[in-house]
Amino acid sequence: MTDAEQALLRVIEEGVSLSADALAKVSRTAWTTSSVSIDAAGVDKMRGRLAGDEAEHYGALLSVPGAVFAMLLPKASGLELSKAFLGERAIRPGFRLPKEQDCVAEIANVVVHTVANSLADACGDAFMLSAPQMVVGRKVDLLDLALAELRTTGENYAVMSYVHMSSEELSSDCTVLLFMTPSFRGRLLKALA
Amino acid sequence: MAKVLIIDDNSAVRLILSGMLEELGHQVVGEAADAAAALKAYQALKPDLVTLDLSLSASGEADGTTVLDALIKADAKARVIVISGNAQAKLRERLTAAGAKGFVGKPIQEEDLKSAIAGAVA
Repeated sequence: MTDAEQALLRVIEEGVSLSADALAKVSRTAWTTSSVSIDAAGVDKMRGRLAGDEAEHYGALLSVPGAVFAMLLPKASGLELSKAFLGERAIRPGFRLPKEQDCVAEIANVVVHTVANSLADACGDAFMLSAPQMVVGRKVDLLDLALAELRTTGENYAVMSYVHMSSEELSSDCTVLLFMTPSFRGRLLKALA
Repeated sequence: MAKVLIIDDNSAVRLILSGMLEELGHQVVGEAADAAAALKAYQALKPDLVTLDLSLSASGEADGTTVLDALIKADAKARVIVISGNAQAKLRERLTAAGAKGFVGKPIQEEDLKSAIAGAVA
């Protein structure tokens, strides 16, 4: 592995480790990071890891040309997560809850940007991620949808990071994935060299 | 007290932000969820201050930087505070150069918002 490749993995790792803090802040709840993998893992390996979970999940996909960030959260915990996100406003008399999907989208927006901001700053670059595109399905289906976003470029892709976090209080878990094409990865490596 | 226009595609953020602004003593005169509605609302409402999100669409076609440019072009004195999870240093430099008067990171903290507004309307 080259020095630049090691530096890239280190930067992603730093961003990923900050994402649990961001999730805690935005959901006002403590989260435990239970599994992190930072490497150019194959998609089949990732699919195998996600295939066992049949429950419906919200998927928030945020993209920039050449990379897709995905955050997956169980749909069953969406309401509790939304209430946690809204804080004391959610229990005020007469308060009308906004759409659950919008609350989850905003949670994803904050968490994913933690990773993207670390990457961009380390590379002296700026990424304008799209607003979260919200989808619902099994984890493995959401993985395929995220990859479909990258396929439109006609390039190959690699999974660069995987982080799994869980919250006992909210009976929820959260998976954050980062995919990128070789040319996007090359742009980052060039900046870090 | 400032008359504020909120531009954000997310209804939950608009709701939270609107509540915070009112708690800080400001008046929310309008809300817009996309670039076209934002420009129309600015012209019609002539707010003292605009809060602008950067990621306005999942397709990535219309982002907040375009809206910022359009607002400044329409009114060189427009006071725009960018509110975004995207706190990248390079981007913030660009936004300041383009005329943004302040920046508040997400999740939004009331103190940060208060301080950014004070700086923008000073």
